[in-house]
Amino acid sequence: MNEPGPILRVDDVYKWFPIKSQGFRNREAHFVHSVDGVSLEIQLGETIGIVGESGSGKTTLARLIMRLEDPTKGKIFFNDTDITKLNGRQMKPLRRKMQMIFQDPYGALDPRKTVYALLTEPLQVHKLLTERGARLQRVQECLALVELPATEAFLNRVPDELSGGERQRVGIARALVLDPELVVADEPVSMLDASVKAGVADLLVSLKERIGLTYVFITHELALAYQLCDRIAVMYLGRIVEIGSAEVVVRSPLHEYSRLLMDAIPPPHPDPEWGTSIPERGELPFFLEPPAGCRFHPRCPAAQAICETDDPSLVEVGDGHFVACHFGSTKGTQR
Amino acid sequence: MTCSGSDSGGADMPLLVVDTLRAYYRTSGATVRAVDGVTFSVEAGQSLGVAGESGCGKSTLALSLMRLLKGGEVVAGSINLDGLSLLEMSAKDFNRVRWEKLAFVPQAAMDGLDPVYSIGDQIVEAILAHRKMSKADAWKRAETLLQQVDINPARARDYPHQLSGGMRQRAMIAMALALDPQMIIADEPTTALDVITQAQVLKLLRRIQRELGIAIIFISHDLSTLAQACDRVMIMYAGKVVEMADAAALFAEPVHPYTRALLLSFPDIDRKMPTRALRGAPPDLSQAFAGCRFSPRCPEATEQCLQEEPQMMTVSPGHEVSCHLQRQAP
Repeated sequence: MNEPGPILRVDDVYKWFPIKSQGFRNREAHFVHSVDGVSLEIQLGETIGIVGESGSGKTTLARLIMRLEDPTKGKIFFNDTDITKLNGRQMKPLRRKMQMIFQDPYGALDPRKTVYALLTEPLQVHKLLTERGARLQRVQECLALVELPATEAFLNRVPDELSGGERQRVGIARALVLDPELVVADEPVSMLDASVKAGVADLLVSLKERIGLTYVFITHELALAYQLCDRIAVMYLGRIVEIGSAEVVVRSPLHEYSRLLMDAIPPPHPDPEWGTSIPERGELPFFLEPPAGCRFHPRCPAAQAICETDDPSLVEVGDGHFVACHFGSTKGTQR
Repeated sequence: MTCSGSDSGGADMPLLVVDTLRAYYRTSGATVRAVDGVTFSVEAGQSLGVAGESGCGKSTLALSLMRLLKGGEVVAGSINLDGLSLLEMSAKDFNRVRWEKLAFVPQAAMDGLDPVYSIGDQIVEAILAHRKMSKADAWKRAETLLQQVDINPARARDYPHQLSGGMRQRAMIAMALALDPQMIIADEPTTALDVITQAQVLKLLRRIQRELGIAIIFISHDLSTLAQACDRVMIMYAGKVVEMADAAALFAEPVHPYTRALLLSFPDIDRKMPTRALRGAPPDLSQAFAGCRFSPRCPEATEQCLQEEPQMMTVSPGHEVSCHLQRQAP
């Protein structure tokens, strides 16, 4: 393979949401730093997991990549085109190539539309395959891809007549119908039952192998990201604090936050030792302004004086493994 | 089937005994047998996990135990808590049992707090509804309770929206503890929480059980959380109990094909084993069954499984399963 550029390049992107000031005496502008300086490159055919708690900024990052939000600052390149500069009309042909799978299979599908209408809608919007037979064929192909029956009865069903897993598969088929290059999946299985979840997760993996999709996979479940992704980026309060191959981030995490996320996962068998490293309390704080120094220091079990004053930058500590921690490079051997 | 609350709950009698409980929903023309002959018991201070896919009857079971079932009714069976027959009590008497003996943390409980009262007020209200004490003493009690669930008592006057999801869930647990119950039923108490918060709430529930000796029925579709929080685990399928054992035995040697399939569908980060999805869906509970309810999805089903309903049997001490493929322990 010759070296193509990355399919997606996020370049020092910020998204600050203004908070309404209360009364007119206190007119200072306040902002939530939802995404606060994120850079990321994604190669064609790669699957990258963005992992973090709610409030980490992962969903906002996904929405920025899809240009459902405009960044406060920074650039986002899709196949070398800076999409932050495009207007709606210029964006439209690109939208075809980047599709999103939403978290809530119940909310994302119009309850009045049949499966057929749901799947042909994107084609209609983009005026593709205008001929009826070709459209039906494409719909059938996509249903086969997501392992759903392409029978007439199924095509005529409405979302209420589908199970949770079927709905999410329809949501995936809808994202695939335009033959996208990049799929951003925001917690695509987190609302599903465990047994159904595994099936949809398996489907996402097999789709990647079968049609060479590039995925950005947003999740709070590190175990799932590990299963699905080539690389994992851990986000905390709007920043990537660690990024590397899934194997390295999960097996030898260097950032204390990544370690905490790992340790918090209950293993599927009783383990009396489990949870001992989890502090009794302390949750993702809500900050108008992120804390000074390392933004994780108020929760960090290993924080030193420097962590309260100096903001660590993301530095490479191993092959493609980056960590934003003052002690990141010296901790490698501890575990 | 009938049970007159005569037994005063002797020392060797379990705290809770549920016998052949059936809870049905009647819709136009159909009866949905959501809980269909469930028998189990919980010892004082023990934690029992109840697991299964959506629609297996676990929430209906919890609501039946709390006499909160809406749109459905308990049609048979008995529930005996500490010598009291819960289903035969008057609503007034049961109100005393609720909170004082048996507290409930419902699904999405953290969203169930009243937004216009502070969490302290809500706990105080629960205490004063049941106990004669001064408001000042009730506040003191509320602050102690908040401390027990790791909430700084200084936050008692905070309103629900000022608290994170995890803190609201802790506040609900504090409220459940308000009247020193013997048992707490928690329906999916960690499901909507972030992974670190979930771990903290799990640890909290475990601590409450061990330090305060309160029995817990912990309902979840997530077997991994039950593995950490429970002494015993009961697996439900299509309104029935299919397997019940001590947590260690259930996870080490699952016997029922459904339990084994459920366990395989969980990602295990320690092993990076590919998960295996459980094919198919639970059956329509408004239909009558001839054989084993799991047989249509069971890879090992035999002719007998299709025709004859299996009964619960003991395969090793404390380990019960209902499956034709198993042999009763000698």
